[in-house]
Amino acid sequence: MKFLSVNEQIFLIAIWWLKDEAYGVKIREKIKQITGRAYTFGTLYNTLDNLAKKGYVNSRSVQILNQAGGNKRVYYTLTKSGLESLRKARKLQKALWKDIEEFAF
Amino acid sequence: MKTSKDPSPPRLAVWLVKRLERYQTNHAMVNDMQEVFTQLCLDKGFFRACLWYWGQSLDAVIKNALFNLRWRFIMLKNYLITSWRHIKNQKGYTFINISGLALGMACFLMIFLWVRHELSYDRYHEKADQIYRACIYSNFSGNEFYAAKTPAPLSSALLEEFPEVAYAARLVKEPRDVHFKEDNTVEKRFFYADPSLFDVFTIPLLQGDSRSALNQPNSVVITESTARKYFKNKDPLGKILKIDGEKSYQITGVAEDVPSSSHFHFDFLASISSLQRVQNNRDNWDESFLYTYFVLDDNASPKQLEAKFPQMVEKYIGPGIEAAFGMSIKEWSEKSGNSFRYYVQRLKDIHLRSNLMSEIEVNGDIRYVYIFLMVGFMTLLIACINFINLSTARSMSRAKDVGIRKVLGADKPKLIIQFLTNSVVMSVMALGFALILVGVFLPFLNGISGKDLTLNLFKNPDLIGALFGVVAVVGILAGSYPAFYLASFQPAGVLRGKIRQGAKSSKARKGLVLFQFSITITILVCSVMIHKQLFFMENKKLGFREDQILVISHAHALGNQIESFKREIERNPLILRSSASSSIPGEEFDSHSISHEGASREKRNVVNYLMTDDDFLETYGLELKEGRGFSEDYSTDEWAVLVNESAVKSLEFDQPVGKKMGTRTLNRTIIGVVEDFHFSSVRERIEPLALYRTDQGWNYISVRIQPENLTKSIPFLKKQWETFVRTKPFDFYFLDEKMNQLYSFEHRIGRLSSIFSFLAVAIACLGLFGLASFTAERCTKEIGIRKVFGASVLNIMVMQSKEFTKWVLAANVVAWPAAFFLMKNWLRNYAYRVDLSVWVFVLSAVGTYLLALLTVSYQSVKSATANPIHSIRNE
Repeated sequence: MKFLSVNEQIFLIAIWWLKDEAYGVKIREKIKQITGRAYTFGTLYNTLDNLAKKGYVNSRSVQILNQAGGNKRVYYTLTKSGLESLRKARKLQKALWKDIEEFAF
Repeated sequence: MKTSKDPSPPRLAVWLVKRLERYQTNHAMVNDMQEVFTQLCLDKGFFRACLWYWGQSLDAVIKNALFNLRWRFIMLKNYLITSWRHIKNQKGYTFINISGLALGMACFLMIFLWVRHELSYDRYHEKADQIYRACIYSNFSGNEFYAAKTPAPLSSALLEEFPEVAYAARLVKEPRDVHFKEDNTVEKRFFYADPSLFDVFTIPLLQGDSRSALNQPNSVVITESTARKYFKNKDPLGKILKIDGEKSYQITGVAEDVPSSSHFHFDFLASISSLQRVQNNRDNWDESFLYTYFVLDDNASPKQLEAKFPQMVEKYIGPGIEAAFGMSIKEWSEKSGNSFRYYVQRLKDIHLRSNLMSEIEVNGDIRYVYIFLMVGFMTLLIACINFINLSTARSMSRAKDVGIRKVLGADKPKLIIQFLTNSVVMSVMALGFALILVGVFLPFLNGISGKDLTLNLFKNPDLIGALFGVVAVVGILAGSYPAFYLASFQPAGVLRGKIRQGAKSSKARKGLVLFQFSITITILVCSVMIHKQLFFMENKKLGFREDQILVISHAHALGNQIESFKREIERNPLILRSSASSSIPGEEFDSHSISHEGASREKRNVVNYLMTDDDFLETYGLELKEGRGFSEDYSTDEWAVLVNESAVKSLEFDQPVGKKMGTRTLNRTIIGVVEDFHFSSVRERIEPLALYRTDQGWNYISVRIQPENLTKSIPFLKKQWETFVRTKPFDFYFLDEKMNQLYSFEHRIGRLSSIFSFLAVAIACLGLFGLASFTAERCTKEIGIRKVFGASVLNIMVMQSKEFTKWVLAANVVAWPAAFFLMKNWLRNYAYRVDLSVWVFVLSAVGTYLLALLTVSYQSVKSATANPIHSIRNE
């Protein structure tokens, strides 16, 4: 099985953090908060689509009536295999950085 | 709550994002962006927010495109993998399909190369668009002539009279003996030219200066390969060559070899000032013996120039006519019914569209370019039809594939793209094989066509385009029908194992067989007819004994010793007879216009003429119709003339013998009439001919020998020649070979057409084979049951072949009229031609049918002899 790319990890973790709140605007904000970079919506949705095609996330449309600017949001949640992959990635990360002190560089 | 006070993002940007369907339906991108936009308006102001929105929108457009591309690419990879699996799984079928396509492509590519070369003639000159050749049209009492040769003073007259003529150059071809060290060689490609030839044509000099190379008399420019032949690696510049055993020419330049796509090829190019004939005829407008080329200014029109030619003729030739006939040109031409004018011809038209009298080299013909182009496209089409036929026939093997893909969510366009990918992959593979085939067969083609075609992609980048074009066209043309056909399968039906093989699809397939065999039979009939005509021309009785005659050229080298040479060789019993003449059959004859007794002085007729000695008739075995031949016994024979039957007809004599004729005055008397004989190609009608008796001006000695003892007589003649002549080599050939060379063009066409008809038949049979194996496969069970009920092997074979028989025979109905029409037109070029006999058609039809039957029979025998047990219980 392939390992997650760092980019994918960032997205999946952001979605995991947001729990029920994970829709476009929030995901983008969360990622900015974690990485300090503001993704464009184009990039954001490309990555989300790719994650969906690989089966790491599910999406569902929700009608919102009292929100300014529109009436539809798409919320993302992690799938089982998404969670599993994240776990693996964490394991790998730990193994990778084991015994390496920060100041060793 | 949404209020009207909310700022709205730029409308155009919103529209743009909404165009991207993905973001609109599957995601809430527009809404998300709206949300952030509203926030930004509050924080940073409307303007900044709009800028942000625009940035996001444009970025989204690009990202969307990249996303789509990526997934398309992944799909393409999948298509390629499935295509490859399909090819691997069905090796036999793929082999037939690819080899058929490869043959078709190879055929097409070779024709393409040939056509491309034919069309490229003389285009390499820098001024190609502005170069013209002056030619002569003349009409002598209804006989029309278009001639390429013009008189010597024409070029200077053009330059003087017409300011729009920028450069003019003359060119003469004169075979010469080149003497260097010990060797004496006849150089046929020896030309004389004005120094301005370098201004007109693009002839790069490797050594020497093109501005001065041909200025001096007795200077010569040679080509690179000639330089190598004579001087190996030494520097040829400044060396001396002995020409014709007397004059010394200095080499003043080395030119690049002339490209094969030129309408004239020189090995030697000497200054025209060294040619005595040009000096002698400097102001003579009567003698047309050289080619005049000129360059027109950019904006000048050749038509306007042509319109001004009559004035020039009036000015230069008028006085001469007036002196001779006492009237102006206009009156003269009206009175005699003769006309004569100069016209111009585009350089680019010379090779394919002119074919005038006395061209420098044998020209091509635009009609053959069209015909071969058509044949090329037809073979490619036949190959594509095979592909279509087989792909639809084998659709069963792909039906499940289609069904499952459809169930999994593939839509029709995706499937179509998948099948097109498949056929493009096949055609790329076919191209690989085709290139190998072309590589193998190109040397043969070059041998036949006398060209030096190569498949060098680095030198000719346009070829790469052509190859891609062929692959794309074949892939899409051949793939489209199967793609649409297969993609339209209903998954529910095919997955249950039921496939709709409707009457419609099988009819279409049979229609394709019909079409394909029509083309094949047409090509075959044409090919046979071409060969028949060729055989006819080569074996036609020419009216003289061409098979026993050996011709020695350079007779003028014998000078006044000709008589004694003849007597000397005739003492040998191997030599039957010999005769000296100015020309021989198969070579070009000179012609001039004459007047004759019983007609007005202005009435002119053109006759070919030949200068001979007394023995010509006997050597050639020509029969006399009336009168007598030349003889020493009559002292008056110096002014005697023999005419042939067509001359009698065109001069309208009832009693030709004793009548007078002549060029200026009626100084010659007709003493006899010779039976018509073919002194030029059988292609043309026998023209009027006059034989004059002279003691000089002879170029050839024709020797009739005993055919059995060639090995003895040739060395004997050589020895005799060498005792008489020192300066010239003994140069001889057989007359029948020479006559057959006249048909080299037809030989080429004949050989090319047999190659292509072979290919067409092969491709058609390949297709039929594939189709037959498919039908046999489908009828396995039927055949098994029939056998159980007592059908014999023969019964089943007949049953299997019946369908094909019907369609192959029906193809004749289409092919015969097409072939008849084509050949009728082609044969019209020949004055003496074969009939379009029925047996050619019948033979082609029967041959094709037998071949088709043979092709089918392999499969039908296989299935007819199979044990029915296996076929019936195959479920």
